[in-house]
Order: sequence, then C-alpha cells, then structure tokens
Amino acid sequence: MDVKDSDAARLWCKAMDVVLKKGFEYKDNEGRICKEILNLNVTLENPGSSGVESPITMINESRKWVYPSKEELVNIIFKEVQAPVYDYTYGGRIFNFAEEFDQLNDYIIPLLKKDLQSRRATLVIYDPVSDSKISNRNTPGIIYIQFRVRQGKLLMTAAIRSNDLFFGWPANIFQLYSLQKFVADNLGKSVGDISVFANSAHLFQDNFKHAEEFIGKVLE
Amino acid sequence: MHPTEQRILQRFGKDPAREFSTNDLVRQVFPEEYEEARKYIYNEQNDKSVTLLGKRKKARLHRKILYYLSRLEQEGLIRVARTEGKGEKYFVLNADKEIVSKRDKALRSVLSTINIQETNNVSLHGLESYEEAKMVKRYDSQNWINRINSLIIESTIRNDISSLYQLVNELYPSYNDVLGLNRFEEVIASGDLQDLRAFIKKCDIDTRDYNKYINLLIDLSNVKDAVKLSDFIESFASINPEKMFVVFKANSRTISNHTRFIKQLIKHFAANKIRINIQNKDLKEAPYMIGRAGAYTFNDDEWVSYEDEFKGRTIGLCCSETSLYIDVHRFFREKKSFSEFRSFILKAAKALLTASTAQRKKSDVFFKTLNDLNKGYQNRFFAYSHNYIRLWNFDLSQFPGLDKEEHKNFEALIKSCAEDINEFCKSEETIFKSCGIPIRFEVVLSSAFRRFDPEFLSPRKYKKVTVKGIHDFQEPELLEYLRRREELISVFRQNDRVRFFRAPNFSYEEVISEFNFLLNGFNIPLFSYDFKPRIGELTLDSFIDE
Repeated sequence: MDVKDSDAARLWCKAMDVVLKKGFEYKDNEGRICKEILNLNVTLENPGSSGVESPITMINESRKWVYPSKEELVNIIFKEVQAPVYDYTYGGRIFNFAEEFDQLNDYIIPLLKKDLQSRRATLVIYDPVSDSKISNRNTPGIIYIQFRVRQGKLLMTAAIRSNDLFFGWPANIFQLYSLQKFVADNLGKSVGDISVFANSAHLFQDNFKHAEEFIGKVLE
Repeated sequence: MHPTEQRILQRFGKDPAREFSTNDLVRQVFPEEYEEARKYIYNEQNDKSVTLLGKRKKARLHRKILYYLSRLEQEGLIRVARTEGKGEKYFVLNADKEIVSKRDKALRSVLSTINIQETNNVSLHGLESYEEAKMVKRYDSQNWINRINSLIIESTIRNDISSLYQLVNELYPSYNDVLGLNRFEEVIASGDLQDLRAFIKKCDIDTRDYNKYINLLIDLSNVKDAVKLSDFIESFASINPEKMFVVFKANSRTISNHTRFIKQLIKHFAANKIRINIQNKDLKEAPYMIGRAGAYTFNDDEWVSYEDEFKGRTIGLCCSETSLYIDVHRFFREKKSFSEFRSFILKAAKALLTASTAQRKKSDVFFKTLNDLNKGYQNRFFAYSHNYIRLWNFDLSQFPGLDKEEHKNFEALIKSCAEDINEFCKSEETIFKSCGIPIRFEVVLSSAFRRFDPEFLSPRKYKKVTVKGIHDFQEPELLEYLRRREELISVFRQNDRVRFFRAPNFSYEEVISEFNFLLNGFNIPLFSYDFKPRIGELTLDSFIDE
C-alpha cells in the first residue's frame, strides 16, 4: 500500500489514518494491542519544503510526553562513536560499522560521485553478527537505506522492519532527511523524495486517541 | 610555577568535571609519601606509636596540599565545591569562570592542556518551585549525573584480596553512594584472616574519607567453613567500620544449618551495636545493598539474566544511576492536594528522564573507568540499572488534619503514582526506541534514609519499631504495621527495608526465633536488626512509639 504527500504532517496523519481504518488488530509480544498494516510505503515528496520537523513539533506541543530533542535525534544518526550505554546507534552503524567501516564517506558518497546512476548505493544498519540473537530485543528498526540519483535529485529509500507510526515515524523522517541532505550536499545535488518502507507499520492502542486527535486537526 | 601546583592542575585537567577531596589529591599528588604514611598507620605490629607517627605524616601532607590548593583557589583556578564529614574540602576546577592567569608561562601552558567542560548542572526542569520549597532534592547534587549511585561487583572478579582492594579503590570516584561486593563469602573462604582484617581496616578509612558505603554481601547457603566466617565476623565487629555493612542472604533453613554461627554473629554485632541485615532468600534472589540514601536492589528476572548471560564478562552491574528525594511531609504541609502530589511525582520522573538523557550523552566521559573495566560489555553493565524517587516521611497517619479514610486513600495514591511512573517509563522507552535511541529507563519508588541529608529532611515523623520478644509479632498493632509495610514493599517493587530495634536482655535463641518468624511469616525481603538503644526511649512498654 502506498501513501504520498508533500507535506510531512499531512503525510504522517494520512499514514496513521490508513492504519487506524484498515489495519488489523493484534497483540504484540509484550501484550500491547496494536493495529498493523504490513508493507506500507510512505513517500514524502520534496522533503526540503515539506515541513519535515512539523510532526515532532506537534508531539512536543501536546506536552504529553518527553520526546528526544532534535539535537539528540541528529546526534544519534551522525555520531560515529557510540556512547557505551547504548546497545547500538544508527551513527555507529553508518559511520563505523563493526568498528571498521564508514559506509557513507568511504562508500556511498564516492560511489555516487563516480557513478550517478548506481543502484548499489546501499548502507546497511542491521548487523546479523551482533543483532541476530534470540535474546536480543534491542535491534535497529531501520534495516537499510538506499540512495539513488535520478533527474538530478538524490532519492532515498529506507526499509524499516517495525515502525511505530505515532512515536517513531516523526523522528525517523527527520533523521533520514538530515542524512539525505548531508549526502546531497556532498554530491552537489538537491534532495528528492524519501520513501519509508515499513514491513510492519503499526499504532499502539494507547495512542489511537492521540493519533485521531492529530488526524482531526490536520486532515479535516 | 611550583611543581606541586602543576601536578595538582594536571590532575584536575585529566578529569575536569570531577570533584577531588583533599585526601584524593594528597594520594595522587604525593603517592609515595602517602603510601609511606599508610604503612605507618597500618603497621603490622599494630604499634600505636608508629600509627601515631603515620597519622602525623598524613596530616603534614594534608597541610602541604592545602597550602597549594588555597593559592590556586585565590587565583580563581579552582573552587571549593563542598565540605563533607569532619570538614574535608572537595575542590573542583573552576569551569564557570574564564581562566586568565597572568602568573607565569608554565601555568598558562598547563592550563592550555586542560579541556574544560561545562559543569554538569542539569536543572530539575519543572520542579524548580518544589526544589525551592525544599520538597525535592537531588542526591549528591554536585555529582548528580556524572556518577552512578550504586553498583555491585563480583568479589571473585579479582584473584586475591589485594587486587580486589585496588579495584574497590579505583571505583570510588565512579559512584556516590554504595558499592556491593557480591559473594564475599568466597573471598573469606579463600583469604587469609589477617589480609581480610587489613582489607576491612583500609576500606573503613577509605569509605570515611570518601563518604561512601561498601556492603559485603554474604550468601549463607554458600558458606562451607562457618568457623572461618565466624572469625571474620568477630574481626569485622571489633573494627566496627562506620560505612561498611554486611548483608546476609538467608532463609530459615540456612539459619538452622548455621545456628552456631548466627549466635556468634548476634553476640559480636550486638556487643558492638552493629546492625544485622538479613535478606530473605526465599522472597528475593537479587542482592540488596544498603547505602546512605536507602536500600537498593535489582529486579529478580533481570538479575537471573545477568547471572546467565554475562556474569564474569563485566565486573558486575550498575544498580542505579540517579536519585531524587521527596519530602512528603513537607509537601502535604504546604499543598495537601492528592492530585498535585500525583503530578509532582510524574514531574519528578520526567526530571529523571532529562537527567538520564544528559548523563547518556556524556557517558563516555563520565564513566570512563567503568567503561574501561567492562570493555566489550559496557552496555551490559548498565543494562539493568534504574533511577530512584525516594520518599521521606510518608506515614500520613502522623499528619494532623487527615482522617483515617484519607490515610487509606494516601496508600492508594502511592500505589497509583507507582503505576503512573511505570507507564511513563514504558512509554518513554518505546518513544526513544522508536526513534532509534535504545535506552533503558526505569524509575522506582522507594523510601529514603534520614542519613541522606538530616539537614534537608523534615524531622522524622514515622514510627520506629522496637522488639522485646517474639510475642510482639503477634500484637495486632505491630501486625497491622507490618502488613502495611508489606504492601508498600510490593508497591516499591521490593526496594525497601524494614528496621527493627532490638530491646536489650535477650538470649541468642530468642533473636534467632524472631529471625525465623520474620523469614517465614512475612513478605519482608530485607530487614535489619538494630542493637543500638533508641534515643529518648525510656520505656519498653510500648513496642511502637514515635
């Protein structure tokens, strides 16, 4: 299923609306009731002018939760040295995979500089050696990110194995956009669409009401 | 610039956020002289005149370093952060002030090597007015986030007692309340009694110097040589360390298997007015620690997973990171609204989340020693830690103006606050994990000990319990009190302790029966028997008085 929009807040609410209306209810392994849609593709068009931070602002303005600051969200995706208290960080996996490989600066950027049409510009965040353990419950949500240059714009696709649309998506889209912008600037290109492909796009029952409130405000 | 000043500044420069006590600095700036003084103080012959000579040498070193510290302080390079104990000063690099020294080239070159960080002053966001009204306080506010509260280490992680002592010494700057030495019975079993005695003596001095606690955790079911343990306990009691406690893990079966030892324990501890702390092994698997702030423990399931999955790979486990205190009596004296209390507790949990975010950001700097000691498994060391909100003076039966129905409601309020906190922590963990920030965030409620900060806390209002004999446990008033404590212990997720004062003139058998009664008849996972006479207690007619 596909959802598209050029406004980040509207896209977020559209995706949540789809899950609330068409999702299947199930109980997860922690006993929480969720509504889920499998294989949902959410595309943000022209993210540079989409108000990519607006979903985070909406959550913060509700003052119901303590949401990570934008600074922390960006840090987590750009900081190559992983703070010891985390099981993993996106930055650690991107810039220092297995403590030896900078996937972005040593591969993606040089590759795209050399071959703009390449379909190989993929960075992987999931590390089977450390993540694929039955007892390990803290594994990255984003599995891989692919970059492509088409019609002079840098497009990005991220595959997320499990995407909490209410709390996770606003942060993910902001983090992905920051990363996309970094690569685009390095290539001297402008940013194109971001597609977030979620194997499991879901909402927890605790957030149904809050999601409906946002949907009501933004879509109606 | 004098070489001593240079050495002092270099020491600060290596760890710019840290506070150093005068003793820390003496130890690090004059290591040889300090070691010599210690050798004199702990001379093997136990010769008092040599000990005195050692103490004089140590005092001279203190005076010497204080001279240079005061010069650096006048210059504005360092400042006194706090004074503790018998007036020992703690110094910190003056990071708030731009350091401009006109003195000399050498000083400027030393200063240029110091990478000054911001002070770690994370405010209690949203709680400022409560903080001003002394209803809430951070535990060790100067080091609120740059030190963990408590940790446990496996005593057998080092091969011998002197290496264990070195490890303990290395850890003092990393925590601000208590360090537990798990399975200390194995150290006793394999160690030499003289070495063990020297270990306790040295730790006694160090814990007083650092104003920190050490707990020796002994599992009685794992004791094979009760005679040796008995000798150790006698030695421990004769030293009577002020800031070291022993926590015995036991059940009634182990008590009956070690009756002779328990009698010796009661004899020596009662004679020296030392508390006996007993953890009920049938109710609680994870170890307990008792610090300045209160009792600490882990979740049982998580403890089991630590033992199964990574025990031996880390030095142990971090138990708690940050703590806040809430003076419930002071709050209700001013506010009296249950709904405001509820929102206050939730704000406190939010403040702990902010603190833990700040701590997380700099964890590579703050916890360098811990990270180095747990290399490869650093995140596992912090995997099961939590934060505490400790309540003081929360026995509302002592509050004027509240009726019985309201007391009951208050207990329900505490319970629902604990549920609110739980829910808040779970949803915050979900939020952060969803955002690609896999954090552990847990807050538990517990009770506070008065020794945390007698000046800050309102005068004690809750009941103390004195036991005169086993028949006391059948008195309805005490039974009701203990049942209420059991309920609270469950709300506090077992992070609590019940303390009993034992009236004098007892036989060892009587006390053992009381232990057995408590172990078999109540859901109290940790209790302490205190043999100190209660201040102001003139009569034993009543077993509960204020």
